[in-house]
Amino acid sequence: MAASYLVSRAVNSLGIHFQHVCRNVLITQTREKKRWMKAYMRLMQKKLKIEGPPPPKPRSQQPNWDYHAEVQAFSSRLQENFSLEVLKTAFVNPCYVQTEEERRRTLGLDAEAAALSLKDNTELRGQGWDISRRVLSDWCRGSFPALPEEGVAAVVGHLTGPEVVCHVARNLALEDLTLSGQFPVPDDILHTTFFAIIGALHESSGTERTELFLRDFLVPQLIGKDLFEMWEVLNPMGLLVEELSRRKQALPEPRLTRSAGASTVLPLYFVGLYSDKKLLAEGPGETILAAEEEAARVALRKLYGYTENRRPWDFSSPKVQPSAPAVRALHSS
Amino acid sequence: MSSFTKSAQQWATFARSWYLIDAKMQPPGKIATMCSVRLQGKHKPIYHALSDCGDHVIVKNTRHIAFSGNKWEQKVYSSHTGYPGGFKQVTAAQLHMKDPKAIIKLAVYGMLPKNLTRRTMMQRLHLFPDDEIPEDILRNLTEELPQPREIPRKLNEYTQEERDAFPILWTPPEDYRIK
Amino acid sequence: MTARGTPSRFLQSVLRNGVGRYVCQLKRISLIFSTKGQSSLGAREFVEEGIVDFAKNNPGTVVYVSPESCRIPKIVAEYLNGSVREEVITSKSAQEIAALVKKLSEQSGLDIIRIRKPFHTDSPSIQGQWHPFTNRPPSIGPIKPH
Repeated sequence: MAASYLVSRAVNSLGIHFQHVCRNVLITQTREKKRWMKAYMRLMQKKLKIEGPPPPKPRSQQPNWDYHAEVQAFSSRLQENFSLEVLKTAFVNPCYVQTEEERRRTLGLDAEAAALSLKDNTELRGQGWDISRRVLSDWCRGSFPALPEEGVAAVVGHLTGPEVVCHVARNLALEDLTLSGQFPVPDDILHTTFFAIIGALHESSGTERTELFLRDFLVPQLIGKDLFEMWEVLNPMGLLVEELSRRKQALPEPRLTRSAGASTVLPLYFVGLYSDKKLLAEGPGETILAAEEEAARVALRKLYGYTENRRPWDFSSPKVQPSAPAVRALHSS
Repeated sequence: MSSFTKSAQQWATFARSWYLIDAKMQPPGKIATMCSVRLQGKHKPIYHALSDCGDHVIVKNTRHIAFSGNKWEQKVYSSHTGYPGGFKQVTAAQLHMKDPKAIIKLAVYGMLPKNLTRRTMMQRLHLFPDDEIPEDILRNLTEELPQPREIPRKLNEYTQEERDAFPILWTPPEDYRIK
Repeated sequence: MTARGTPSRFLQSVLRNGVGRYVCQLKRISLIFSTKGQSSLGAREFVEEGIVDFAKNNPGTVVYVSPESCRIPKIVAEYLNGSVREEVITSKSAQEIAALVKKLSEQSGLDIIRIRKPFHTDSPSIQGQWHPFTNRPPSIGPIKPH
């Protein structure tokens, strides 16, 4: 050791910078201006610019990760009694099983050893999908009795659509727990995993808790949403005429009620719809036609009870029977 | 009450209204106060200094405004052309003879906030010296504002019954000479 | 820096938390400290005294305790919406760390930046939003003064 130290000192004293070649533990700490640093940093920056930032790493490959504890925390965070086996199954996607087996095969394991004995969530997600559609449709019909079937389908379609569900799933940190073949988890996988979780909840806690779960996590996404943002109606006046004739009311008559700046480029018209000389609805618009269409939409909202000033939904938790959760816990354990 | 689509609601909320003010026998200062409030949009509950929410104001009969006191002779409008000796001073009466819209215009201009939006707001002020307003401007109107001051009636505008019904506070003696 | 130059957001919550049921937004907390260092004295004390109680009281939060050789002990808090906050706890006492952990567990994970308006609602008014014709009798022509 001492000899090599002496040798490297000798090299140093000769003025040839060989530190990076014959690096020795004893002389790694030197006090000097690191003249190689600038070139190195510039190289690294150039590399970053060409290659782009490194791909994101899943949380499970970063330090401090205990899958079992995470799943357990997920369950108690949502205040649900999941049975952990079912919940873990719900996170396993078929693409994960496929990729994992392939990976094992490439590592040189034979077919029997490479096969994973994991059950994937295909069954659970079908179940969850069915039950969520059913529960949400029932909820929608109960809250808006006047809404027709197409409207209910549109609202439920919006709530169970990938946009809303992925937003909810991402903000419940499902992305960390989902076992999927690719990373970042694609939207469709996240979408199906969320329904698999609902299936798991239904399997472990029953229909009632599932209803509450859907009400607490999906329905609040409707707050501030307009009916016709979810339900695309191209001809609201036709729908209004149909609706009024079904209710045996007089057909709507549009009348211009107010206007401002009619000869400018920024006019405002208000059209009122009168049925049997009673004002049904009034709507603003840039042109008289747009105002008439808007008035029809306002009238439809009033008829269907989906106005802005409707009574807020009841999110209070129902009376809990003290015995029921204990029994369930016993069963699950 | 209403549940409009968001875009329609926005259009309605930020639409510009058109107000009409009749300046006949009105003090120009009071007319200008009403104008400047509406041109800035300060009469709206949605007022915000950064949102351009001012309305249009039409003032008609600006030729027939009424100054109180001896302002027609004593109120002086000064300006400077920028050249040496270019300081001009005209009385209100002279200015009014030259341009019947100028007094109201200057009064409103002085009452608006002194920033970059001032000229834009002034463009939304439409002044007409007389009763005639073009048809396309009349079509925009939404509201006619009440006059700030009640116009006193002349004696010859009272009917004979009204004159007779006027309470007599003092009976003149017979030899009282009325000029 | 001026108010316009600073980042800002509106008043909001993650997934309208609390409308349905309240979900604690802190999903994971890791306490990184040194077993020997002087600056981790309070952290070690907190590991002995407070962290087990914290983990018991917050079953929705996964607590990781990782003793490493480090000069700067820190707490890494991860939230449900994916944001990560690192808090340095150098030379902090156990009580201070407990207070910090409590604060972290009560936060939502949204950026702590200037909030543009102190009020926000998605249903602005049950009477309907104002427009120039609110509380005015219907008429096509201009409304005359009384």
